[in-house]
Amino acid sequence: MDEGSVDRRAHVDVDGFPRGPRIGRTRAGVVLAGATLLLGIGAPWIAPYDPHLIVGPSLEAPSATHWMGTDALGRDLWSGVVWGARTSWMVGLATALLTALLGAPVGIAAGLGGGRTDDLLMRGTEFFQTLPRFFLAILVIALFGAGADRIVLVLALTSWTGTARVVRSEVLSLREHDFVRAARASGASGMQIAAGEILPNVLPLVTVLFGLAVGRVMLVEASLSFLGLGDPSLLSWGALAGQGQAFLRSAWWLATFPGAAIAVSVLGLNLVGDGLNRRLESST
Amino acid sequence: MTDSASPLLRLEDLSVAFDGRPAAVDGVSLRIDPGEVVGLVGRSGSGKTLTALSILGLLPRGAKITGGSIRYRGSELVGADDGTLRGIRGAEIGLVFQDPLSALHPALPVEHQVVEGLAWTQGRSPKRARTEARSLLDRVHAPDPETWGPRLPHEWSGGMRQRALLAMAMARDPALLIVDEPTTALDVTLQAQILSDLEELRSRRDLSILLITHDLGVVAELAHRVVVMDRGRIVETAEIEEIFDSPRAGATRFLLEGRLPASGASGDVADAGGPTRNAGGGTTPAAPLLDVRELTVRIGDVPVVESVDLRLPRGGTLALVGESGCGKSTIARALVGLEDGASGHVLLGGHDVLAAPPQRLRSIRRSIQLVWQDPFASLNPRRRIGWAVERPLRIHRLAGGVEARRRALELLDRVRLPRSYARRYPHELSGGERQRVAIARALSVEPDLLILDEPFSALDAALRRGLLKLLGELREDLGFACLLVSHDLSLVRAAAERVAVVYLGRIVEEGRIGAVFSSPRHPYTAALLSAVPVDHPRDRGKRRRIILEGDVPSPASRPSGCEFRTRCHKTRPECSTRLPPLDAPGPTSDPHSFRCFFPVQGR
Amino acid sequence: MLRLPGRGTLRRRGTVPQVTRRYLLLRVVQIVPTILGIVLISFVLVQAAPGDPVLALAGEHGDQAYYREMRRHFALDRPLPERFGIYVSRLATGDLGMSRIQGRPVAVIIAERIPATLLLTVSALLCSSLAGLLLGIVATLRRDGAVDLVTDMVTLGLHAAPVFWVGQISILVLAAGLGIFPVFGMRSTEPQAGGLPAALDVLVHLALPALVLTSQQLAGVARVTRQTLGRELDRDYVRAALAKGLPRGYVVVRHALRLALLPVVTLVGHRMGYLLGGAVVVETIFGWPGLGTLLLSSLQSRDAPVVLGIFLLAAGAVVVANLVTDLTYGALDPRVRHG
Repeated sequence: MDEGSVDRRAHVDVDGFPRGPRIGRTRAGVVLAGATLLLGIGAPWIAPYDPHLIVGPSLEAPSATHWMGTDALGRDLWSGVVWGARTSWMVGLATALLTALLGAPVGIAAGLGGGRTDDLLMRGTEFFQTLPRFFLAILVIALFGAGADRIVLVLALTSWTGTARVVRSEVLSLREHDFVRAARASGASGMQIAAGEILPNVLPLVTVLFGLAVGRVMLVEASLSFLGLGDPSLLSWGALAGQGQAFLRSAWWLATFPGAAIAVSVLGLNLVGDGLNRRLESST
Repeated sequence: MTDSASPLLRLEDLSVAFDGRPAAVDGVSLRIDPGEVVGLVGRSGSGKTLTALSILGLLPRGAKITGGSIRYRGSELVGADDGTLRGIRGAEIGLVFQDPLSALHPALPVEHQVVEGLAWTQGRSPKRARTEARSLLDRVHAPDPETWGPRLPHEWSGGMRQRALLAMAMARDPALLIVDEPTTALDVTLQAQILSDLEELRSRRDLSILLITHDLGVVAELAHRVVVMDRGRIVETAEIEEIFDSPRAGATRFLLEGRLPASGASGDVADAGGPTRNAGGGTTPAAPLLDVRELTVRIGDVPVVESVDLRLPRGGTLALVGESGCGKSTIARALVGLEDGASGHVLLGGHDVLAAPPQRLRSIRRSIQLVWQDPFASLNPRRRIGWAVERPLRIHRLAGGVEARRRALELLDRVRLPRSYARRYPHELSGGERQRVAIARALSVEPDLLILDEPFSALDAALRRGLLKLLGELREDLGFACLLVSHDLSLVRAAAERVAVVYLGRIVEEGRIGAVFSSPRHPYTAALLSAVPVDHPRDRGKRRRIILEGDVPSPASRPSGCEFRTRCHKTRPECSTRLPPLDAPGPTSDPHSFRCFFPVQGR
Repeated sequence: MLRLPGRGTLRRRGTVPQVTRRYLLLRVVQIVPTILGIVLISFVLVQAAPGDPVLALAGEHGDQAYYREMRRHFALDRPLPERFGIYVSRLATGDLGMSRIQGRPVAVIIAERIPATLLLTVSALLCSSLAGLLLGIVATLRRDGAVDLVTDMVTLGLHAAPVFWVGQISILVLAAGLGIFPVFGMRSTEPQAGGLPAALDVLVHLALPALVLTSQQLAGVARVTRQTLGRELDRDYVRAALAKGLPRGYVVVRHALRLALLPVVTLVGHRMGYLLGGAVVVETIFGWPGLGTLLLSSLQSRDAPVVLGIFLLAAGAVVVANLVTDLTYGALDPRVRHG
């Protein structure tokens, strides 16, 4: 039985980015992001010193005993960076999780519900999208004091809109697919369609968005901490970099390493997200 | 094969490959002489389009010419610099793309796109260019270029877009026109228009045409010589009659066998209905399975389907035909309650689908199943085949767990797919296999009525026959009734017992296939039938072809009186005063009814 | 924001945006509830702040006169809905309250700082949009070549780097290391005579902060340009245009870029909040006397009315930027005009 067919995907190269070692990049992303994540998880065992204790001379350049040097008080920077990973990842993951949990259901409901439900949910989404998250976070910190919990809440509250919109547009296009119509025609209920047909098709996309959201949140959290608005009880990369600002000319390492740690984590997350997204696009 | 001294275009041993993969075009040689029409045929994926694109140096990203030569009027095009190629493109060789919508820039006025090549290369003034554009559009019979020229492509209809592409390719008066599947996306009426346009262009300008298609019917209409490709290689080259009379290559025979006869006796599949077939004769007064009365569907305020009456006996087959957009698919969707704006009565086994409360509707939906047009879209890409086939059983709580799995495997047997396919995902299957899965899924709940909405239009013509045969056998075994929605008249002839012709959401003619196809009474039906491509090149020009001008009017502004009169070649003043009723002349047990005051005289 | 089918993923073909003139008009009208919503959020936050809202805003310093002023401003003796009404009507007249620290109206304090921030953000916006577009176009034209790969790598890196880190590194390399640019403030300490030298002085000071803020925006613009333009180039209409004999450059710019520009415009316009947030960080690093430094110093001195005022201003700027973006989109896409 020969079954030739009109394959529309035959010559369509869906991704616009350079061709090249694609899998390699996704893997590189996993390695980069995974490394800093492991630092965060294993902080108590990995960090050679207590990052809050004075363990060496002040402002010592990187050496064999202090890989990333010491700060003005003689604290070990490498230990600080290790513990900072924990904060960055915690805030990033918690916020991204909330973002996905808020955004995906809204997106699915809007896309499947259509009509008035869609209008209403999208108006709401558009509104939350206009809120400048950085400034809202600062206002909340100004009124309620600094703390990781409120940073997570504010960032989640202003981030879910992106997920909701992308998921909604995906659902809208899925809804027009005959397989959803077919389910409807054969008597499936709205819930059956959402769970059986839509969800498995949306889940990979939500995962990608989740990964990208972790990176974005890390950046915002870092900027807030850099300005001294982070959680005072937690060590964070942004705060370390902020402390290094005053010693830019005398101790280059203080500003260089914490910022690099953030860049490495976010780069890794973006590479993974990009790679997965491309695979998604070429498979649908 | 003519052996004139200087071919217009000559490909020798041309190979094209996507990087890192085996050659997609493998050692292709062919020649086109001045004034000659060469058909390049093969199923999709055989490398036809790549061959054509490589001639103009327009291969998609990643594809490269890996060997061979392309000579146009003696000069080599492989490896030629951009300037040389640009001198050829448009000016010497015009290219008409397969999908007219994606080949037009969505945000530039059509007339601008038609003359863009002119204005740029020949330094004409914008105003002259516009005049030129409109005369070009006029020449390919695009209606009213003054009005439509300045509009954007998405406002144009499919047939008009195809003509715009043709005008675009002809703008600089090339000597060779490469036409890629020019009519695949079009209705027969439009196909006939475009083919006659092409023939007209060719004869008037001594144009050479390279006609790329998977449809031998199109080739039979136009080509002098045929080159058959399969898996990147040329498997047969012959004069047109030879191809039809004594095909040599297996691939050629495959393409020929897939064709359904456009005339002659009705096909094998309806006959395969065997015993149940007699029930379709309409002689039995027993209550029909499906009884549609006064079905009207409004989308917004616009009635796209207007008081349609249909009757389908148990085990019978009825086809709805008409041009795309005529409302035939809307009727099909209304039957299963998927159209919100439907009113009237749809009685299935005595129960009204449209009036049914939700719980009842669920059970009614069990007895009507649909097979969708596009097998690429009708299966959930992230669910296994087994899941898809079991799905209706689970929805209707007819079976679960092991029992559902067992029934799914049996169904795969029935549609002749290996049981191992249950664990595969749709993207691992070909289009034809997916359509078999869709049929298995529909049959899982043992429906009384199967609705097939353009079931094979997304598949290569060659696959139709096999699927049709399968359907016929399944029908014989299971005894379900079929409602076939299609624009493909050869398919309808082969598959159905009765046919209803739909125009502007209204049925204009209804009767037994044999009666309607052999002596159509409504001028629209006659025009549709005359537009079907000939079966064999020797019949070329023998049939009197009624070319329908223009497009179907919008259902939002229906013509007064007979709604077909604006495109009818027999229209008279009386036609605009009153809508002809759908009547059968005289009492008969086997009615053949039509909606026309001045019907075509039967033979 | 425009609701265009498929804009989220930009991957389905053939979806024609259904945007009409009426819809754009609606967009303008919709601004009112959006702004009201933002005001409501700020109001709720102030009311919900722990303890007495006045104490939360004004700090526990015991300045009774200032407490009275705050009570007047937020009408604390009235029931909640009325309080909100008064709050809104004061905001409508531009009354953002008084700053205790500076003893001046907040509106005036903020207004003073706007030009510096505007200079910084607008120059970064222009530079990043132009350079990003250019980079994206060049990379697309040399698809899969060295320029493309390098651009991809660099923009990926910039995309991931926190803006303060880029600032710190550029200070380390360009200013401290090479001594090229001044790293602090907007003007030199010794006053410059005449208009031109003064302007030049500001320009020299602007260079580094603007560069850093530009780099933050540039990566996004370049990547989106590269991605959408690359995608457009694979479309049939591009091949059809080439088949007419049109030169490649013309087709890329006049055909493909036309459509690729739409997502870029959307990106630039809808990242106003991001740009302003970046400006706060950059201003702090370089001591640029704009809203960002004001925001930080107000935070440190617990001058909450100023923080609130800046929040409202930033939110307003985002709303306006979104509106302008959508109108631009309409102007660029003839399908909108024809709708």
